[in-house]
Amino acid sequence: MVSVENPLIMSIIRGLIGVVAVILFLSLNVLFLTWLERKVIARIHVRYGPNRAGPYGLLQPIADMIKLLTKEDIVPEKADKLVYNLAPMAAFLFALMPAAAVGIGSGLIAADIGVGVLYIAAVSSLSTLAILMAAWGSNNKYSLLGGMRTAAQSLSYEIPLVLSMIGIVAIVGSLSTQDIVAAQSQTWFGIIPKWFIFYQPLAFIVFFAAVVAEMGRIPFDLPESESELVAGFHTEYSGMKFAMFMFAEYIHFVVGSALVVTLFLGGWHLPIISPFVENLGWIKYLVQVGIFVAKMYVIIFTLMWVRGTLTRTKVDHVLSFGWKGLLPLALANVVITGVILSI
Amino acid sequence: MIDSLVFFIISAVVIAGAVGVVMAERIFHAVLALALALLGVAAVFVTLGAEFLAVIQVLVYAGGVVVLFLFATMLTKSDLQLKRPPRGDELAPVSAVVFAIVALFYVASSGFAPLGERISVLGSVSGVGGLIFNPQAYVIPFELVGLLLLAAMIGAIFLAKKEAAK
Repeated sequence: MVSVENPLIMSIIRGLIGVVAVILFLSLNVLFLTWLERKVIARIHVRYGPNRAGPYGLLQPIADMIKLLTKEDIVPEKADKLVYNLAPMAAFLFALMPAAAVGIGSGLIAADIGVGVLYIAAVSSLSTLAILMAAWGSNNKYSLLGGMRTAAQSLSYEIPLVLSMIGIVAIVGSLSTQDIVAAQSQTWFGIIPKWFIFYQPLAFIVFFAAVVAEMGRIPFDLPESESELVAGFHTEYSGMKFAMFMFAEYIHFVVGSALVVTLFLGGWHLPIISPFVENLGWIKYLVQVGIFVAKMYVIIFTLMWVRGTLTRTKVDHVLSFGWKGLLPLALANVVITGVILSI
Repeated sequence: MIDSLVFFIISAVVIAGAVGVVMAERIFHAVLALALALLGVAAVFVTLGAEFLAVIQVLVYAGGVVVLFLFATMLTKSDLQLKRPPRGDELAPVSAVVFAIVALFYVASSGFAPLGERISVLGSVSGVGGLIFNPQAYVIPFELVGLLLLAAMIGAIFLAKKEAAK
């Protein structure tokens, strides 16, 4: 082990480890998710899903990856080349950014920023920019319509998303995701966990709906509704660039679910088990990550279930649900929380 | 040393973005350049330790205002060849030089006063919140700004309603 004294080099090394760990964690989950999603949806549809590549079709994501890597990269003649080529990279980058402030265990976080949840809300709003770049750069009417819907949808749902987090922030008194999870470690009678879903049920409903809308999943997947817009903003993309959009989309899926777990479901805490492993050194971290990932997959499975069950909503319904349904609820939650906290 | 290096790199990005806004031939490119400049300013805030300000900069400007600009651009003629009118170009270098001289003069006369204590107040949520809601500090300007925004919002709704009625 080389001893490094220079604080600058140390901080650079720490940053690099964080970046590599985040990308590795997300990539593995995304690869698994592409398989899981097809399998779950297939079961709901009473089909088999992928079952040729490897046991239970588990090698399907790798086969897909090879296929996408070797595909021809087509750039439409009338496209705005610069914007068209930058858009997939921007989508990928902006999808990765919020993951830095989401921890999967106590101290297991790439960057514990003081303004944590606000940072996440801010940088996830940037991915709209990437989608608009793709939509405009493609010079295709379906892409453009998809992009316009994305802009309208994400602007509308960002507001209830941020407002629904205010209650939790007021209770904890901190914006850091680590502090928010730490505040949920207690239990009633040793069994019932003191998670924020019990303190803030209204905020949970609003946040969950808003986060699904921000992810662009059914019932809010209007930006790429395939029955009316071909594939929405990524209609013109193929090969590696299409893969980058898919990757970004699944990263949103993972990070959004992780955020729901962090804010409302106690993060890596579980009653009975958590106090048990408190003094077990590295096993503690292993258990924490296990609990976090398990909870995350509960949310992910729920969303796949929703996708297999519900239909897509009409665009005007989506927007009026955001402004007339979620926004007043989120505001009411802020007022109620404020009143209760100040009593 | 490394701090000033980072500052100069970020400044170069901000200036490149700002020049892009003025020079871009297509409106869409100009708006994207604006996003670059705004994100660069957020990065400057981070290097100064004002995390809260940086995040608000990203949330409001890059995530909100720029997206709104792009949205408005998409409502215009769906033509990639949408070019700027050629008029007024000869005035651009003149105004740039005049502005640069004014900015340099201001910077030279203020002499880069260190932020010191103030940054810890401006950098944190509780610091900014304390300033905004402190009767001795900024509570009245803050409420007035809120009133102004409310008036603007009601005005916008009124105009939109009038259009719809016709």
